[in-house]
Amino acid sequence: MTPALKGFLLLATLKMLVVFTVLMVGVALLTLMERKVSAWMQNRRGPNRVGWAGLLQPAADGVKNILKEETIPAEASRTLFMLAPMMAFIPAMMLSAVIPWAAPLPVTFDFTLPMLGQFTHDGLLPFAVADLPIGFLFVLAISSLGVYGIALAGWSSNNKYSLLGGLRSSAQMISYEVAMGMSLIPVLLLSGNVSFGAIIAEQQTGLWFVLPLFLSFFVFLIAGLAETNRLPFDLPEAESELVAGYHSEYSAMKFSMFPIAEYANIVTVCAMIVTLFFGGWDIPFTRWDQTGGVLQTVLTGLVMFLKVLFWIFFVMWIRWSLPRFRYDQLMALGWKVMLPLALGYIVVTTLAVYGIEHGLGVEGVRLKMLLLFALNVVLAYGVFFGLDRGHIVVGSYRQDSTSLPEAPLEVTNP
Amino acid sequence: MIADAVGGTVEALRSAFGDAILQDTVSCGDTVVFVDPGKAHAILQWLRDTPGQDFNYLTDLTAVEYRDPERPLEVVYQLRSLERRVDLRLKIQLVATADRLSVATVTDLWQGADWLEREVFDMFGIHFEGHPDLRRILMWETYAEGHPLRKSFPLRGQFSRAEQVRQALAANPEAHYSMEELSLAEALHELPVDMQERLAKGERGEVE
Amino acid sequence: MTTRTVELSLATPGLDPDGRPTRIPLGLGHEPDVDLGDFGAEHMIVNIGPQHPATHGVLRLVVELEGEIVKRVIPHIGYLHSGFEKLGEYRHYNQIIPLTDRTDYLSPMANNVALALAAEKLMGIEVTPRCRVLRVIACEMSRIISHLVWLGTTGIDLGAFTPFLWSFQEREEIYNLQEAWTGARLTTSLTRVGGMMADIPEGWEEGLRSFCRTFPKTLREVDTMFTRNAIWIGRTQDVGVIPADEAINWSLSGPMLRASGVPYDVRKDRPYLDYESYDFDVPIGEHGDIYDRYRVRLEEMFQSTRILEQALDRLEPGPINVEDPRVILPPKHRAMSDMEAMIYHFKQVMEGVPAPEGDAYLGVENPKGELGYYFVSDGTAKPVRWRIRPPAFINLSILPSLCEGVLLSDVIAINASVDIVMGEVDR
Repeated sequence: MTPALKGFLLLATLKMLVVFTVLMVGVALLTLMERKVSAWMQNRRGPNRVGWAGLLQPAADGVKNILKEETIPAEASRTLFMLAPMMAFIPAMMLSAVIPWAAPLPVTFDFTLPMLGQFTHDGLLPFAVADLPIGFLFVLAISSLGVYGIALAGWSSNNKYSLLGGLRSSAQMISYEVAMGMSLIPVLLLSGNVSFGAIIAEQQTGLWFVLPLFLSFFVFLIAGLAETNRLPFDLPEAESELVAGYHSEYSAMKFSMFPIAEYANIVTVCAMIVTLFFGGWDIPFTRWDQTGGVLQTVLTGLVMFLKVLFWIFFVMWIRWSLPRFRYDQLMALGWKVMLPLALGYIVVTTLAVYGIEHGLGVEGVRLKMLLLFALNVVLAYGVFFGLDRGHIVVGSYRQDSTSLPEAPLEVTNP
Repeated sequence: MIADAVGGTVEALRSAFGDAILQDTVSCGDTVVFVDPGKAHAILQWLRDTPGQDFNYLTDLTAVEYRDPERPLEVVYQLRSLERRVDLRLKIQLVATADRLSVATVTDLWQGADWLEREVFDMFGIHFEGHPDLRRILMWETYAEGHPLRKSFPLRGQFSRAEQVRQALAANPEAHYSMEELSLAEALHELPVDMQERLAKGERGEVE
Repeated sequence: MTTRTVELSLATPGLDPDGRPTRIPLGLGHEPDVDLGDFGAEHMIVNIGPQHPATHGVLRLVVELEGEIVKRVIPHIGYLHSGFEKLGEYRHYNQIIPLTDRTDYLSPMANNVALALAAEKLMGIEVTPRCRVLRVIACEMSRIISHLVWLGTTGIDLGAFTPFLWSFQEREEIYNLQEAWTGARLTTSLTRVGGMMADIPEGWEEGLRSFCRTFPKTLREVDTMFTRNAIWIGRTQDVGVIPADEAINWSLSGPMLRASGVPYDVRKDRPYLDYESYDFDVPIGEHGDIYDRYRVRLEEMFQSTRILEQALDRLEPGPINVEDPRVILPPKHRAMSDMEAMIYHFKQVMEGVPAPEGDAYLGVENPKGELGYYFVSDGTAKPVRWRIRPPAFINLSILPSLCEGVLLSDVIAINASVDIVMGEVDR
């Protein structure tokens, strides 16, 4: 083993430990955040008994869940029942491996440990556990595996509610995965690369992709919500219909695995949103952050954290505001709106990029993206106009009327 | 209120049905008409469909048993004309000691009578002939103590508390399941052997 | 695999000698070797309730599903049956009032008022003007809390959690007022035959006035969250449609009837408690779907606030009980010092208030619909028959026919829109 390989292994192990720990603690704190956010929205206080402002509440919940009795239904398929939470948990954890959390840091060391020998490293250290060249393709591939956990949990519980929940979730996740994948093709068109590092670099030279690719962002956001089974897409666990959906029969830590996986997925999706459309760890209006250094890495990490936190808050905000879709509406939205929208957008973007580059002969990256942004404003106006006209989810008889009744209902006063 | 509070309905009824209208009174301002049990359905239909009467709304359907065992049981229809804003109470008298208390159903006139008639059957044991699904509604299917709102039914129940407990404990649990769930028992011979065995052990059977 | 198409034969009921129902509906009545039409199309039977988040109590729905499509819904009720009507036959009229608290426990004060009105109709008692105004206040407060529960729980059933807590916070305000007035938050037992159990305490009006000021704001917030929300509209419009003639034929009442476009409100059409002299509007729906029911109930809450404000304005000092020593208990100090008062006290407590022979039906506009109390008296102090016309029970009876062919989620939504309270359905 060469000293450089050993150095790489050492750093990789360290990064893995750090990311995993931060993610697990973060997920635990996210449950607290969710409860606090919902409490603020609902004029409540939220958890405030355990620790200062309830900060130890997640720890208390964790201890409770570990100590609770595990029950396995007598008629459940035991192996799959035990396996399902892990199958939901592991992909969720793996996803966070490729996200670049901060600017790369130049690290140089050369030391020798007794027994282990010499460790060396020289060069930029990417702040992703694995800076894979396949980038977001890895995310798409692994996130698809998450559905197995949920579908198996639903099936193996031998419970009708769980089964319906599992069925719904597999149908839902598969449907929205397509739209999600399609919505990322325009990103590929602009950046010319699937690796996160290249995508961030392209956004640093040009514009954040949310501007030139707004509709892509829109589709990705919706699909991301659906992929993480959050309201308004939480049909698999729709508590008013299916009690708790696919995890009705789970208890104790096996149950906790599902919320942990869900929150880890939220973190990943939000990090994806930030990385793909909001410049990742890029600090806007400055090039200083790319120069490399400890301070730069810390600050870019902080910026990334704030951006991701905002989107997590956004997801929670949506959850506590909106009602839930119905199954057929969910499918209609996925297949009849999101997918055609994403496909059409690919065509439009392709033509636009070709036109701008070859027709107009625009050279500058930023100007090119500004032109695309102008195009997107027009497109988004059309799309939202169409959606707002109520042709998507409105009940059938109101589809023809242009607006909803503004005035109170007809009143009689005999 | 005056006697023709329902706008001449009683007179119209008398001229249309003659002897089938046994009696009419006004009680606390409500007009009450007693009719022949055999003609009740036709009268109700006439009241509902005749222009000018328009008693299209069945407010309530219930029964009354008096403390005096000599007095007949009454089936009471509270009718209302939504257009004319008037109410009419129609009563049928049944001999309380009859073996089988029965009247014709009005579910063909008002679908809302479905559950109301089931409730009256459940509580009084009055059979509504022609009702599509006449079974107990508030008490459970296998309730064996009779019909609770009958005066012969003591307040504490027909059986002693000890007997009620004994019955509950001795009961075949499957008998307490609704008929929908009994499909499992019916399909028992189709199930895999291991599941048959497990079901045979009952709900509290051994868990592996 | 055999086809397990479910056929329910609705033959006559009965038990075999072992006590099992003779009717076995879901059995394999027909052998599957002939009919392979829907081979492999197994129907799934899902039992929703009696313990389920969306059944609003202990309603049990046996739902037959084909995929997510509902083929049939069979409601099973009676889990909360307490035999109130039977109990009423063993009680004096005033003693029945606590039973009414427990039927529709979401609007106990309105039930109390309805019972007092029915008994007064039977006995021919005319209550005092202040009593009438107080009763209107009680009815409209009940309407608001009941509708608020409906609004919140329906929101939850459709996945929107936040408005639930907003509406429950407003409901808490009314419960505080209710507690200040009656001493109880749930089992109010507010009225007596011929009057009220208690007058409102000092400063209470101000509390209600401030509620009337702040409450519409919250309601408008909920309105913002729901009324024009595309998901809410998609979930509710055109779902569970009841045409007007169906609504009448099924004897629906209250918001269920009015959402279908039938303009019938007992307060307007058969006024009681001087409702004809209050200025309020009755919202009428047009399509009879869940959305219209939602809009009707929402608007009714605004209208109730209007009525409350008017009632507070016309609240004048005066007696709350009729001047009739046979009906109303004398004050305690007089019963202890005055012989005549003591005799009346004794007679009322021991013998009750006898009602003249006859029968009386009185319907009032309760939040759930028309609540009717039907008394039959044989001249004694206890009714021969006390019949509750339960609006929730009758409104619920249309549920199976509404749920055929809809999706499972719609069953929950439709069930929520009916606005049932199992205490009243099962009585």
